[in-house]
Amino acid sequence: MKRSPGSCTGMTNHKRLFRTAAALGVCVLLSALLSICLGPVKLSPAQILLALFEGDRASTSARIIAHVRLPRTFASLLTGAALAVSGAMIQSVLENPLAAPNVIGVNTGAGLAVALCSALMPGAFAFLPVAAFLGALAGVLLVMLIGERTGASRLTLVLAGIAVSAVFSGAIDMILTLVPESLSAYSDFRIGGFAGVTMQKIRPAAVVIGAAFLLASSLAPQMELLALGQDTARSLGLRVKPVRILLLTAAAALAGAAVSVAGLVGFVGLIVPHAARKLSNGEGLWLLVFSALGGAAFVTVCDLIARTLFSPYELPVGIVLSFLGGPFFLWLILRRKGGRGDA
Amino acid sequence: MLELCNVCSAYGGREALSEISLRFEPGEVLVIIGPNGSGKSTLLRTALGLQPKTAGEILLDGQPLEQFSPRQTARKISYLPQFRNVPDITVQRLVMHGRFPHMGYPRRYTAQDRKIVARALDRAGIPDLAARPIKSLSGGQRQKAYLAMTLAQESETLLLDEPTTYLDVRHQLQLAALARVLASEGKAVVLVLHELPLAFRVADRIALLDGGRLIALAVPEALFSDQILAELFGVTLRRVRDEGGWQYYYSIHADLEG
Repeated sequence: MKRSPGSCTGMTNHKRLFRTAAALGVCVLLSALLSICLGPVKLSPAQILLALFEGDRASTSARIIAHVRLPRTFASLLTGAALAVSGAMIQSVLENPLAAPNVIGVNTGAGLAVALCSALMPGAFAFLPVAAFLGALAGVLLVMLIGERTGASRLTLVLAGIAVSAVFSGAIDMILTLVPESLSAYSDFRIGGFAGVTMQKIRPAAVVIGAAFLLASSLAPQMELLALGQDTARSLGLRVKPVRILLLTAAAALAGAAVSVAGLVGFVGLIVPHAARKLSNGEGLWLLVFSALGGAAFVTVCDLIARTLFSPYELPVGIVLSFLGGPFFLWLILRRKGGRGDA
Repeated sequence: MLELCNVCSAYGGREALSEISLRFEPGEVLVIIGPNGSGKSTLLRTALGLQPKTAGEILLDGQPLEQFSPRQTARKISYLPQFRNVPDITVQRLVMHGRFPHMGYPRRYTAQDRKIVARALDRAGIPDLAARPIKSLSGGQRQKAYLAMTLAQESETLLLDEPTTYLDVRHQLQLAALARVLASEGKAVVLVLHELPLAFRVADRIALLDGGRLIALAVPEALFSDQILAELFGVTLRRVRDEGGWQYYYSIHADLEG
């Protein structure tokens, strides 16, 4: 008897996807718990519960949790989710698995806007995510335009992005040289990290990230069609250009908001979507969900490693990510060159 | 019905199509042949609105194509492009995308959609590949997966650009048979083919392009005896009749054999 491909296979696939999402959800919770517990002062889950629910907000552990661990954990979860989802979207829209936000100038575009904003309006935290979004949008649209106008190949597009990134980077350096007090922790910003992050800084970014994620989710089916190539997507009835711009706007908002909190954190948007794509079978909404959950857990764990590896000294999380992301990027390129991948 | 009236198109500043007038008739297999770079793919892309025309008119059911939204066009015309991405999805998922133009909001697949997709997989001869990732397939299997997606669109007109690339002879013949079945169901089937014997075997009419111009449009019988094929391709088309009807083959001119 012939099996109907729409029924049994579909059900099994969906069960597997839900299970994967649940497993990633558990990873997020565990990483968050570890992030709150571990540090120079180790706290047990019981102490955390007491501090959160007993109301003794004056105790040392309660203050550590409220002012250090919780903001830091929220920041790493949010930043990781935002950058990974942003990377997944940019890769789908540009049909290029190498196009991560930090590679093609999206992060540095946002960084430039943050540096400019900090130099001109010190202390205007609420405006930072908006400025970062505009900078990131400028970066991603510039790369998209270069690709459209020149018909650049996938690899050329990445190289163009690297060039755009270098120009933005130079501009950031110039601002920080001329106005050194604009960013108090210059090297932390360049490398990317969560030291000294506050809820005041996180709140506006969280709003932007939430809104951008909703927009991205509503466009997930269209994003999936874009991955088939422009001609196929258009022949299936998709208005390619407006959808691309909407998706890139959402991706820029996500990356921009993340940069406004954590600085130029790199490679999350490259590594996590790659794994999420495998787990999701390329299904748009699941790709976004897995990227968000995977990115949140991944950055939180990396931050945990960064601040506990040489404890009591702390590394910015960007260093750990660079050690992981650099070789991964190289592997992706070599895999292409070797002809073993379609990427 | 899709119709081109004196359509011109340019590619990279160079004229790619010149005053093409052509009707894609329902119930007919129209095969477009021509040397490399003669404008075959550009013709299909222009007919679908993927490539802008510089002059002329394209009519869909008697109305200018521009009056139709991309989604309305996609319900009426499906297109298999010459170059295709290899996405990270399963065959089933790819074929499901063929239903996109028919879906409302929120985009949920109905039982009817799943039935149509199952039928498309069957017709393309790949029901067993449904759960396989596209990336794990051979070139020919990928070709069939995309063909199934095109079939799932359930459009009145199918524009298939080199659908036999990567297919072995048996599967090429199966595709030709499928094209004939689709035409017998009243669909307009347009194939861009390089294999002359297959083109002559499957076509109701053949459009011959050269340098962006339509230089012949005729039934295979009429074009068979035309010297123009020999001039364009450097081969002489021949045929023998057996129990399967006319079988075409070609003999190569001495100057092509170096």
